[in-house]
Amino acid sequence: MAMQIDVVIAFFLLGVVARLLRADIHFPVALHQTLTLFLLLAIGLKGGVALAAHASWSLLPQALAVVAFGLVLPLLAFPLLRQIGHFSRVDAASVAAHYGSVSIGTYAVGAALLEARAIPFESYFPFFVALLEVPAIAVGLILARQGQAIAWRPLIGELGRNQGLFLLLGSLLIGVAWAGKVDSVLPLFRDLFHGALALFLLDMGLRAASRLPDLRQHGPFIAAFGMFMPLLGGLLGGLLGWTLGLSTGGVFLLAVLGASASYIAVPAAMQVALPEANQGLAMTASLGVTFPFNVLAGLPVYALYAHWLTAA
Amino acid sequence: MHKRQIQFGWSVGLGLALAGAGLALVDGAGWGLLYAGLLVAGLTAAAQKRPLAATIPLERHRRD
Repeated sequence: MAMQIDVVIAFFLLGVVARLLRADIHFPVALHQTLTLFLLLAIGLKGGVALAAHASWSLLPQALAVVAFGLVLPLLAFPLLRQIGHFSRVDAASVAAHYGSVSIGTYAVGAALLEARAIPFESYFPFFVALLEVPAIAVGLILARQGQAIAWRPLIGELGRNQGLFLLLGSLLIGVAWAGKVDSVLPLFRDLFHGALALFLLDMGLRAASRLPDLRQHGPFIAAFGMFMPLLGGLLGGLLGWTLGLSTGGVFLLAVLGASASYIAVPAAMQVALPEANQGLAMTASLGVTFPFNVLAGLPVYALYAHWLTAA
Repeated sequence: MHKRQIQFGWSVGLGLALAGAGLALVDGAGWGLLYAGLLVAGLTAAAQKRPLAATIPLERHRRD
């Protein structure tokens, strides 16, 4: 399952190079928003249709294990950020929550790579993506407010209205409920997926490269952490996928989910729940370091790891 | 930069570079890791050039 640079990843590189060379490219904010909506709906709808076909009680232990995984990841990141990074409790908890949650963009690239190479995977995986969005936010909040009262109500309200979670779960439900009738809309979300992903990655390349100057401010620790944590999460995610008996593609995708860090759902939730946290730290780490690291360096390694685990 | 951050930077940088070099020999999947490791090691080396004492908070400096 060795992976060469995929055409969609080439668009990401194009974005990075364009920003570094200060090319005059203006990517409209509305287009970024449109592409994010499209990817969320496409992933949710395809996952929902697959979930309708495969729904059974045997999914329950897998789902519980995935939720437990989402609870553990921030607990691993937090002491690193506190002890080595010397972050304040609130900042460490906020960054840890980002790393326990998932990035829909990284998942989309991972799934696209598998589809491009016709490698099968458990097609109900978007269900796991939705499950992994939330637990880390709760853990992050508990870590930040140790011993203090937590205002859960505004946080739950924010999560319920958060576009990422809402659209992913909504389209997943539509896919499950109208599994036999989605043929009329599926061509839009299926056939245009790779093209939309390429555009999305071009924009993400521009955005990630824009974050690079922040690295000077926050130091090499953020760079080292932003590359170490995805490898740890990927290692554990792959191991969990293998333990759950997933296919090679499934093990790869769970490693990708473990390795990715949120930059859509968690920042919005943290702004409400932990307004005193420095959002710049988490965004520099997740968007400026971890996303490009995963897309350019991590994915081939997780693919090799998944292949090695399932072949053993 | 604190001493432990410098140690972490060097450990991650060299660890990634070594693992990347090894994987690159076996499969070709490790080039990205190798470059990432060299980048972290380079950033750490650049940070280390600044005098440590100047960046460590005073009370911590005294304690060390």
